[in-house]
Amino acid sequence: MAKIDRLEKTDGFRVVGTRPDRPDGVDKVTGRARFGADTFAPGMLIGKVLRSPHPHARIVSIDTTKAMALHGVKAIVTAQDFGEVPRAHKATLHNVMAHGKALYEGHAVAAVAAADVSIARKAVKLIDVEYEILPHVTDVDAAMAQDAPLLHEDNFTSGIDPKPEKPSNIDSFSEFGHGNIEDGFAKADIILEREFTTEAAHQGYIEPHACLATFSEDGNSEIWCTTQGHFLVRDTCAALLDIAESRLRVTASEIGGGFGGKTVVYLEPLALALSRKTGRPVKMVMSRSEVFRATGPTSSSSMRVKIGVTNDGKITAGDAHLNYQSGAFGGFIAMLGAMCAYACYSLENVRATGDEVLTNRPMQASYRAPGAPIINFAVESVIDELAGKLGIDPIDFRLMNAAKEGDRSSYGPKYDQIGLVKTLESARDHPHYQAPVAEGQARGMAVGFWFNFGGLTSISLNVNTDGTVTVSVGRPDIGGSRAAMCQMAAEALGIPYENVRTIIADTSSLGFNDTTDGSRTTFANGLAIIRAAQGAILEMCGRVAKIWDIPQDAVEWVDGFAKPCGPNAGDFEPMGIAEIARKTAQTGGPIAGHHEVNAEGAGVSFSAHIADVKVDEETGCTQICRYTVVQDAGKAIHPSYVEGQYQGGAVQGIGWALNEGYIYGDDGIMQNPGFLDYRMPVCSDVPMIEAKIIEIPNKGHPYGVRGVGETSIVPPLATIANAICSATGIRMTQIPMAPPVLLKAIEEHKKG
Amino acid sequence: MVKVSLWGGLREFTDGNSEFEFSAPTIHKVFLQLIEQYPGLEPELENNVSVAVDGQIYRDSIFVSLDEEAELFILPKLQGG
Repeated sequence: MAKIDRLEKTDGFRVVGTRPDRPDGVDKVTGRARFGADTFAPGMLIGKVLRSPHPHARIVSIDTTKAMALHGVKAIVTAQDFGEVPRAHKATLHNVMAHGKALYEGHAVAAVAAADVSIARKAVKLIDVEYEILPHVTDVDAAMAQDAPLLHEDNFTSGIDPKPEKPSNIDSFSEFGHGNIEDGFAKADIILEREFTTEAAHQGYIEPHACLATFSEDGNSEIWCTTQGHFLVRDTCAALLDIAESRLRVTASEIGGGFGGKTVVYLEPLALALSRKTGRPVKMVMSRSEVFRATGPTSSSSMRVKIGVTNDGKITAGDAHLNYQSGAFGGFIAMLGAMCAYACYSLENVRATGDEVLTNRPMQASYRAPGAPIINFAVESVIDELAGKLGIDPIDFRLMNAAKEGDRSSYGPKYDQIGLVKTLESARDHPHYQAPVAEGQARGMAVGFWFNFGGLTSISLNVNTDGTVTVSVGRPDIGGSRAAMCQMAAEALGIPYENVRTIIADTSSLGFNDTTDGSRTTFANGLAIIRAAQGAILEMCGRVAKIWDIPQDAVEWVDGFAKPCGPNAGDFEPMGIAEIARKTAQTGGPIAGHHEVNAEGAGVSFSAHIADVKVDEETGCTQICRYTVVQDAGKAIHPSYVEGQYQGGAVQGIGWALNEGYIYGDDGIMQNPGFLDYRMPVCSDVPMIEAKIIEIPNKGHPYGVRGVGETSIVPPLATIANAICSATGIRMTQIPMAPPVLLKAIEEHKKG
Repeated sequence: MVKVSLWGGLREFTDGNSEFEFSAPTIHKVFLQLIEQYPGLEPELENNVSVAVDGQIYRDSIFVSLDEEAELFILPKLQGG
């Protein structure tokens, strides 16, 4: 076998670690890039959804006679157009289209396909639905009450033994921990117990959900859509419509943000069902109001946190209970929150329990490190309060109790190599933390944890006849992954970055790829690309060995060239990839590398945040004056993108902390389904976020990569709450800490 | 012997037990022995778990080789955003 120059390395990089221009930049700034709503097909119809105006209602009847009689209306689908589906897809189907009951305001009840959007809108209004209005519940604690209206009569809480005899709105219970919590508290000198609430935040992607579906008479079908995972769209739609996966080809458009919210299907099965019924392509695009009322968001919550500590700063026990509101269908976010609750700390006695609670709200969807920011707000607030009571610097207190390699994590397994201590030390030594706090401002910090994932990955790397390279990957590029893919391919092959192009292939071109979520893409795709490059290099060395008429193991690959190696190899001029590629017809045909893998070894990560804030005590408005993120990237392939991930997570966390939140009236209707009333931060709301990249190579990746996409949203809620506490002396226990909420707290604080 | 711990959510299928020891060369073999003792675990182990082996989390791979003294922790299936 030929020799390859340092395929696995942690230093001496040529392309990795540089900051080349993004390959999708020109298309995006010129408007040429095609997003979900930017495609058309001959004979295309427009689809629109009729949504329930009630938060909870039995659907007595649906009469489509008048709507179908409207000129230009081609088809209407309801629950009756979908058959039985496997149990694993039942909740998805019942969320995509209400079956028997509307479970939240905005729940799809019917969908129309018509000649144009105006007719489709009129038709939606002509569908006559008779509802039997039922009592509703949107608050997480109210939903857990004994007399709460039940969403699902057949829901018996899972995860508890013995199984409950009565149905309830608690979908599932989860528990993590070890040691003896009572013994731990008995050893404590100080015990703090606090209760917290958070409101649901939407992922807030700028691009609404959109798709174009075409179902052909021959049984083949296609979907173009904005998604984080087109393989997931394919498999789910195939299951919901009972068609073979091979018959459905899904192409991912450019994506205008997802943050976890585009890891599920909403419109796609409806458009496909309408196309099947009409024989025409059907395009569907959500309005912003529909996005808020019928997709996402993350959970709202109520939590209780109790931590005990000795006078010398050792945490003896940590306990937490999380009630996470998961919308109309069950979820797993409280479970993830419970796992993350105390993951930053080395604890002998720890327990975290969680309830997933059903309410008459949209089905919750993942949002960047799902579940972790919510409980992190609660735990890190109590940690901060304890540090204050003990008179210990907040970072020093965390360092005294920080989890290290070999410690048992609060969620179960022992930690492998982790970088929490280095992260905290870097935060402590950062110029921001070392700088004196400016007059009128106050400082807070917090640390957060998140898992990172790998997963199913299939990629193809083709050497073109001019020596350039095309890489086909199967995960949509949300955060600039194409640049990083090109860099890793260029690094492995020893060719310039500009000679590599990466495309997102459709579902018929590659094996299954897990969705772009879980901070997996740069890690898993990159691992596969490096392995595929290795395969292509070996093939190229073999071709050169043929040309030189020497054994393949007498050829080595160094810096993009095949060279003779060893005492009997002979004397040949090194042959570059372009020359090898030109001779492919003569040497055996096209040259390609492939790699298919279930990538494991992603490695967990930690992030420490520091914020300086100014609180206007007359308005309750909090201004972020300075903000710093310190996080381990393993190896930053494209540092600008890594910084962007840190900054983006921080800004989303700032928005969640200070303004964002679903507001429901007593009628169970969302009061703020638009960006005017659901206020996300804009550029003028935040300073330039300082990003400090730490690089502790992840041994699970050839270049040391660790996922970076999610952890940065975990600490901001607590970081800002801790800074507000420093500024005002008020320990806020409610998210968002919006001006009216904080103003009320300030006024009550002043009254004593 | 391989030490195996289950997360709390699986105890409803194991009569409340969460700590086990098996002689098993792979995660798969551990699963088979658990299912033999507790058949109700089968759908959970097939679809809903990840496994940490000496701290390294495997989301799906069940044919990972285990050292004789390996520590396994069976976790819920993890999902990101």
